[in-house]
Amino acid sequence: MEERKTMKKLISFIILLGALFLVAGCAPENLKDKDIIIPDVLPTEEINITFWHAMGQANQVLIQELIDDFQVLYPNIKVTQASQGGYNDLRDKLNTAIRAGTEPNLAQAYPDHVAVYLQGNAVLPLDEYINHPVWGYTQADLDDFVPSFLAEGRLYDEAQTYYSLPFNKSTEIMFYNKTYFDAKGLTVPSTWAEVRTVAQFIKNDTGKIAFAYDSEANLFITLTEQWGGAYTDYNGNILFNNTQSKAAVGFFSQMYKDGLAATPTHFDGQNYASDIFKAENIYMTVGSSAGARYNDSTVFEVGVAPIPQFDGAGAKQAVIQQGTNVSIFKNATDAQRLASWLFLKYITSTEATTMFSSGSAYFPVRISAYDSAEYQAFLAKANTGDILARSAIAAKAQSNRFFTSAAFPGSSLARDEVQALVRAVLYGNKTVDQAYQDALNELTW
Amino acid sequence: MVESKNNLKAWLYLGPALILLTIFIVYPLFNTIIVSFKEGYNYFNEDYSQFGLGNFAKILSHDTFWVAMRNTFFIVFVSVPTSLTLALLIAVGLNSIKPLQKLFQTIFFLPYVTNTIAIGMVFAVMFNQSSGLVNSVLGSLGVRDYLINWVGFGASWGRAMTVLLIYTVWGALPFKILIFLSGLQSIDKQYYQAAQIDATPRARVFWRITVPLLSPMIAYVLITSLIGAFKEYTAVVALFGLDTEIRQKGVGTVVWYVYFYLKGPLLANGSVGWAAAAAFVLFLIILVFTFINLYVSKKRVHY
Amino acid sequence: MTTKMNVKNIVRNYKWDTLFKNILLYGFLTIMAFIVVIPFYWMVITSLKTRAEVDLFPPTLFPAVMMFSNFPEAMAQADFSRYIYNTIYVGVISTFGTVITTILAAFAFARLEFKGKALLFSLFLATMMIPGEMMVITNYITVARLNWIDTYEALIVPFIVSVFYIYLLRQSFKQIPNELYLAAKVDGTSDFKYLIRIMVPIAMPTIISITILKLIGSWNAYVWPNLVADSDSMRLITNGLRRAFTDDYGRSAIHLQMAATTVVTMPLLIVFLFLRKYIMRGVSRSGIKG
Repeated sequence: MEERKTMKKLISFIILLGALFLVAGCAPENLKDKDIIIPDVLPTEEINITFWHAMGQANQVLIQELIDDFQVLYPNIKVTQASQGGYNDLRDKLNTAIRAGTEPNLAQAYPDHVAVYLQGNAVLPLDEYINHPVWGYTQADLDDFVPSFLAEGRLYDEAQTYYSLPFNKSTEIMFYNKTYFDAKGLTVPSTWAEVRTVAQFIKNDTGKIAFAYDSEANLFITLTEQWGGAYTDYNGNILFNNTQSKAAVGFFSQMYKDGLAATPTHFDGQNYASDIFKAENIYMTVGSSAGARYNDSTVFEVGVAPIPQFDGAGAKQAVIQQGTNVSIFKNATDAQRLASWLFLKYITSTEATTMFSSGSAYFPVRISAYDSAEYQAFLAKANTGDILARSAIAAKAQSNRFFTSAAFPGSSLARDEVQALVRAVLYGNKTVDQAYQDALNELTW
Repeated sequence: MVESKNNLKAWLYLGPALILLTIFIVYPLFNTIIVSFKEGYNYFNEDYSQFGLGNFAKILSHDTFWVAMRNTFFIVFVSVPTSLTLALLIAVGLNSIKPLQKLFQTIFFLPYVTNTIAIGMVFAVMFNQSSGLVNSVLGSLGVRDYLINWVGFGASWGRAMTVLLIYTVWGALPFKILIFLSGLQSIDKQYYQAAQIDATPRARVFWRITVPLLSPMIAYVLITSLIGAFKEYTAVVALFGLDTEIRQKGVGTVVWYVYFYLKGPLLANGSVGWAAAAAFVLFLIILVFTFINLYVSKKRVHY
Repeated sequence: MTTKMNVKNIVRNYKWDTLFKNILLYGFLTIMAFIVVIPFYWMVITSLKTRAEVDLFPPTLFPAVMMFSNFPEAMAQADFSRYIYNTIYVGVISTFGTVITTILAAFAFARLEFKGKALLFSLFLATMMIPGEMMVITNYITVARLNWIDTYEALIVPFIVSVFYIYLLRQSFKQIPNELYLAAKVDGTSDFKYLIRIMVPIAMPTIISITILKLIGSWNAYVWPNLVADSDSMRLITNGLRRAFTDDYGRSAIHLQMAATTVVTMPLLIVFLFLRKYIMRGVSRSGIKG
């Protein structure tokens, strides 16, 4: 009995200690739930804000330029950028940071990810800032944004609240071995049927697989859209179990079976499609317009073209619009929130987006940027063969076909699942119906 | 045994260990169990919709979970007996030789000090479809279609599990051999001498003398190996890649499942609760097996 | 006469028997040893091949040219020097912490008498049965709450107590005879002095085993660092290794992958070859049921 009592006392003491320990080590005060108050005048004391992103070395330099120019305009706002690795790392870090209350002020984010941050009640709604008499946008300003880009920041709720502004957008384009095409007198295919024909020729001529699609998830989503099928909707409904989508995937699968097309997974996962392309083991590849510099070659001339379209019944012209937007997090003081808004406005301004796009091959997010002298000069470099400029042109040529898919919690799971589906059909010997059923089961589980 | 009757002093000495244990082992044990009953657990603010068995129902209706269970049970019921038997044979063999025994012992212990992830990646390279050692050996042995896909996308379950089996056995041998060998070396020679006088055949010596005398070791090794096998995770990461790859290849284990749902886009929609439920289910299974094992040991182990 | 011939036969048969048995035995052991060693050999020779040679099929059994340059190239694929630094730092500090908590706790259980000792010790041992995954989930949340994600604290603190090592050291401590303690007490030595001056040195082999095993464990850690280190700058070497060479979106050339693997594996092998006795003793101690 005595023993038990002492034990109990001691255990409760220890637990108390532990609890104190936890409380003491608790997170800094969380400002998430503070109301939005926008000062009419920018506070004069020094304001520090942080910006998390997933950009590589080259683009970090550009971002620093943006920061430096911004700090000239607002000397008392200090901006610190921090690359968090890849987009998945960025997402994981943001999740735990939000949990711990240590999230940054701004971050790059895919709509899929923002949907999750919203569930952590972490993202700042921007409408009041956009409509603010002093700091807001005029209608003309808003109209100057590329419409589909801007719309992406508003697809999280019924009220279409703004939760992000576009920053680095890209699309997919097709790179092809122009030297080979010219030598053999081939025309660049613009439809999938033409791709088949050209690929067959290349196979007969070289024995190699002619065509590769870099991203299996995009392959699925884009082709489903082109064939007129549905993918998902904003309420999280999984809609891709339809005949059009199956027809699209079946088409590509048949091409694979005939040795005409593949994805990087086929090449033993050893290389990016761009590596295989540069090694001349494939002759056409569809990949991100932002990855243009990886497809450049000094050995042969690289051609750039819009991606193939479907020309069968019920076809829709479609190419995926991707890339991240930038959101602001609520867990900050009023001054920091305002400063973050000003920074966001700056990096999406005509001047900034022109500079950023010219250096990175991402799209300008402002229509006026396209027409600016600086950007036109950048595009003119296409005449001298600059691949960034040429892919920017090819991308722009597709802008009337842009589409995005719905973002909701779990939409990134849908992407993962369709990637798995494509791999299962191509490399896993699953039948199309089986693969679709399995994907559906997993997503509606 | 003379001890010092001083409670306070004892608690002081135990203090650091006790505090850390409470925070990082005792408290988590209870908290995880509680979380496993919280449905719709939101990782960000710890909200949940209600207490109930929902998380358990959910994972038990998940194909991926059952695939993970199947793979885990495969390791438990195939890999463990295999490595146990092999280790026993090797230990007996080692015990029967004098020269070079130390050398062999050292060699057999090598896998223990290696990094599971690192060597697993080496195995994946050896089993590579187009350039791997294994396939080239098969080819030179005259096997048709020797470019077998062992660990890549589209590899059949049987092939993937074969590689996993070989790797887990390879990694599990050292510990068992060491224990068995020291156990064998501590067996009183008199037993063997008596058997020799009677001219007992070797097989009988093995089954009637060696194994029974070794049974405490065998029991101990068996139970620790079984528990370890239930918790297998890093071997799969090493051979097949990161979490999403593992999922697409269908080779995950229950522990993989737990970690998979500790991250990802459903953190606010209850995925942590599912992970907790899966961990709890695993714990219960291990508990059951431990009891079965103890019961069987009581009956068959000779001390 | 018959008896003589029979004896000769028996002896001859016995000799052949023994020879046959030995051939079988050594043959079996050699084959097994060979299988155990192959992955190491393969790892090293692959890391010395050129990219072109690695893709050859059937693969060559020895590199045509010894590409030692693969090693720095592999290390450049990711921030390996940082990973190694992190791993050593975390390893040393957590080993140090573990040794301290272990010595103190083992002393209490071995030498001191206090209320609830038996019960507490059983509880300690019981915790060894619980799978780590049960704890990880909550620890992950705890660490996030404490704002320790991506810090050394998260990597070190949860692991500076190990019931297993406490158990091991307690066994060693218990073997130190009473007489020594009595003598020390007569001399007026405090318990703490006794612990430091006498018990620790005597039990040093076990403590060394614990230190080495713990260091090896830290070097090989994967799962927990994978969970709590989101930033590249905080990763440990095993995480770095796995992430630098994944299948998804381009695996680097195999020769570099194997070179990096060799770098990760070699330190442990070297430690093992020199400190083999301590390691094997520590492991086998755990097996002899006490």
